[in-house]
Amino acid sequence: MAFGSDFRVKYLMRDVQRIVTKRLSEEGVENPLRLRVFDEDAGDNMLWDKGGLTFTTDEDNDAGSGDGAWYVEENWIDLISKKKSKFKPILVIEGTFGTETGNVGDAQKTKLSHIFELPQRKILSAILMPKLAEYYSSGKNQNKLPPTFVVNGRWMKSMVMASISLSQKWNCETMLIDAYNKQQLEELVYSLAKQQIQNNETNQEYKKKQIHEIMCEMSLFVDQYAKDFFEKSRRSNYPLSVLDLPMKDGKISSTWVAKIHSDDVKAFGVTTGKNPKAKSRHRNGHRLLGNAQELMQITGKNTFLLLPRWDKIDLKKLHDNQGDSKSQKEFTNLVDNPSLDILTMDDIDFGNDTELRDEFKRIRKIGIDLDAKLPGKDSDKLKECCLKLKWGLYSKKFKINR
Amino acid sequence: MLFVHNPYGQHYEDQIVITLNKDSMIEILHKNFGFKKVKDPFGNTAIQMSARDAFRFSLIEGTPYLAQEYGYTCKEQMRVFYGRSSLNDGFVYYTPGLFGVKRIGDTIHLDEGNSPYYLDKKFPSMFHGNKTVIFHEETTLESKAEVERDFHKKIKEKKEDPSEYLLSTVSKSNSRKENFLEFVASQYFNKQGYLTESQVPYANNQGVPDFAAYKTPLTDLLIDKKFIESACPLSEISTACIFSNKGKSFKEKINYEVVIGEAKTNADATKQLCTHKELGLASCLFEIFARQKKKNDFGLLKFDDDYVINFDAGPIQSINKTLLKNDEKFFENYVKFYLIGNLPLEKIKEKFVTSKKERESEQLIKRVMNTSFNDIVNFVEQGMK
Repeated sequence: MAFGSDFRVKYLMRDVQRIVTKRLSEEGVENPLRLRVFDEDAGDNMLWDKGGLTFTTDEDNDAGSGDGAWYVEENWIDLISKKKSKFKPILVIEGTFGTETGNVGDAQKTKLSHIFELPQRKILSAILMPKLAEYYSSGKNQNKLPPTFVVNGRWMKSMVMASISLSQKWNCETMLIDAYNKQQLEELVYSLAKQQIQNNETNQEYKKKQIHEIMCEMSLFVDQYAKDFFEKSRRSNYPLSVLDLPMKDGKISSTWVAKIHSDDVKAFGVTTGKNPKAKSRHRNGHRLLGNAQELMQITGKNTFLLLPRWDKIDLKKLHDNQGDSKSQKEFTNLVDNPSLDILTMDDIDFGNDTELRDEFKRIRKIGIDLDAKLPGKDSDKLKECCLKLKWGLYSKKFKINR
Repeated sequence: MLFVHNPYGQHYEDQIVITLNKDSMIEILHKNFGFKKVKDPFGNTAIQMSARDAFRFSLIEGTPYLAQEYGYTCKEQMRVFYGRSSLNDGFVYYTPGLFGVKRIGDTIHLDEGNSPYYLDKKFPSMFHGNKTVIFHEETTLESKAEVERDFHKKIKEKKEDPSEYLLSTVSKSNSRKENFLEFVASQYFNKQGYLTESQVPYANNQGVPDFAAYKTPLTDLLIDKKFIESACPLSEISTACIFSNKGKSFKEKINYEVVIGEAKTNADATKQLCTHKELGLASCLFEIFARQKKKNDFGLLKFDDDYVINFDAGPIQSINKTLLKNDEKFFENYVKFYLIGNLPLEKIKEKFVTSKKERESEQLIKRVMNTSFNDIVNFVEQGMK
């Protein structure tokens, strides 16, 4: 069994709990906060009321699980599922040191689904991840000389923006905390413990101050990015977001936006079986769900995951449960959520541009036949087609058949 | 055909499938490695180990020390690389762990890490005296942190010192026992003269092996220079600043060799082993436990009906000689980092991190790799005086 960075996160939480307990003990009081943390997935994946670290979506599906949670021994009713528990969650943490090992791009967004359901329950949550980390990898493709090639890995700004929006929407904070700044988490947990000991004005203010400092750091981090976000999506090639989505009636949707992704159905574990490694290598359902949730949160609109390499047969395969178990969970969370949906090439009205539609069809077939990564030239062609689709939708040359 | 009375095992026609539970795990540790069976403060059977063995147990099995209210494990905390140069176009993939990291503004700096040098200061009793491993069998799903807290409290109530204890939480089924099996394999291969590890730096997208063992001429050198007592887990090289080592080397001619094991309790590891076979780095590939049934293409480490290890190395795997040669070079560099892990950060930085323009971690890696093994040995010997 090879452990990932989760193990480090889980012991960092223990370390914080140990420090806070010691501080309080020196003040002559007992730490009222307990720490729920397991060293393996089985515990994480249990529902909160059963002793685990998982909460449900509005549709009663299991959402992503946390890595640990501070709680108090107090009767609590889940505002969404209405289930009762003897333990009230105070702060749920989802953590990763993945920025040190290559999780420097879109993949970070998988973390969002682990805390997404918490603010509506009025539970504080945080993604614990290095704000800036050094990521060592092979520099061969960059024509660098061995033995080292290192780049900076940072928090993804769009994810920070989505967390801020989520906090504002529910008036309950979802935070990003720098995993290299243990003291920030320590002060937060200490302030939460103090408030549990005595809920007076001083302690309330102290807690507010800690949360405010964390939220300010997040806001500062995305300041310029947030100002440019909507303009950039409309003027630049990337991100592949379509914020003005023309629908069947020719009008721009007032309720839906879309994010184009070039993944094929292997992303959710549907493979031909020809290539045994395909299932694990192409597992991207988690990332796609994170992307859809992120755009929904930032724009405040319902979000289509627009997958032009898929057709309705691919979608049916997932409805028929042909993905792997983890991907099926993410797929269910996507399609059961009334604010999210999947569109395939069959949902796009390409007008007279049959060439673009046929190109998507051709590339889809190659990906499925190969059961592997696309060859370089098809991969480049796919990028080009996705851009044509984005700008075709913005110019209303194409429409969504809804 | 075997039909043996075994209270913890199920009998199949041609094999015994041991259930790894508290009792069988204790027996395995006692019978194979001579760890003493003792009573824990609550009257239950436990295992007593030296501080050195307890460090290995925590490092590989993951069992936390109870020195403080919430446990501390050594597992996953002392990494140096997560990718090896031999499998990644000559590039090493460094990660904080043994050496720490801190961010000041927009710059990352080296910091005190989780090396035994610093752990000894944080947990003064960790590396001293005998330790008792308590085995706690889970009845329901419990927060591990809270179980640790409860035990810490109960041990104190019994007027005992919690810092003398480690707590191993055991599930009733075979599941989640891979770490224990990795520890067993590690101890077994250490006895055979191999350096071992369970946090194997490997190739990108090739599947990280659960366990690796290395036969290397460096082992004798490390013993002669008193950095290690005998063949051991790699991270133990960094404990020379704490443990005194009086072992004797074998003085045998040894060729570099890599062994890879995959620990499984509820499935087989054929898929992973086939991937390793394709790569051609390891001359021995084996499953650990893996429902006790041997596959023709690979070896198996299993237990007989009396819990004694029975290792069948399986067929010798064909290797890529160029790859192995490159890997030997990587391994030599890798060991250098565990050697300098014996020193405080100031001494390390003073020697290897001198430029204010270049990244500190990159300076450390490049300069250590550019310094000869003997020079590193001399530098660390001097630094430890």
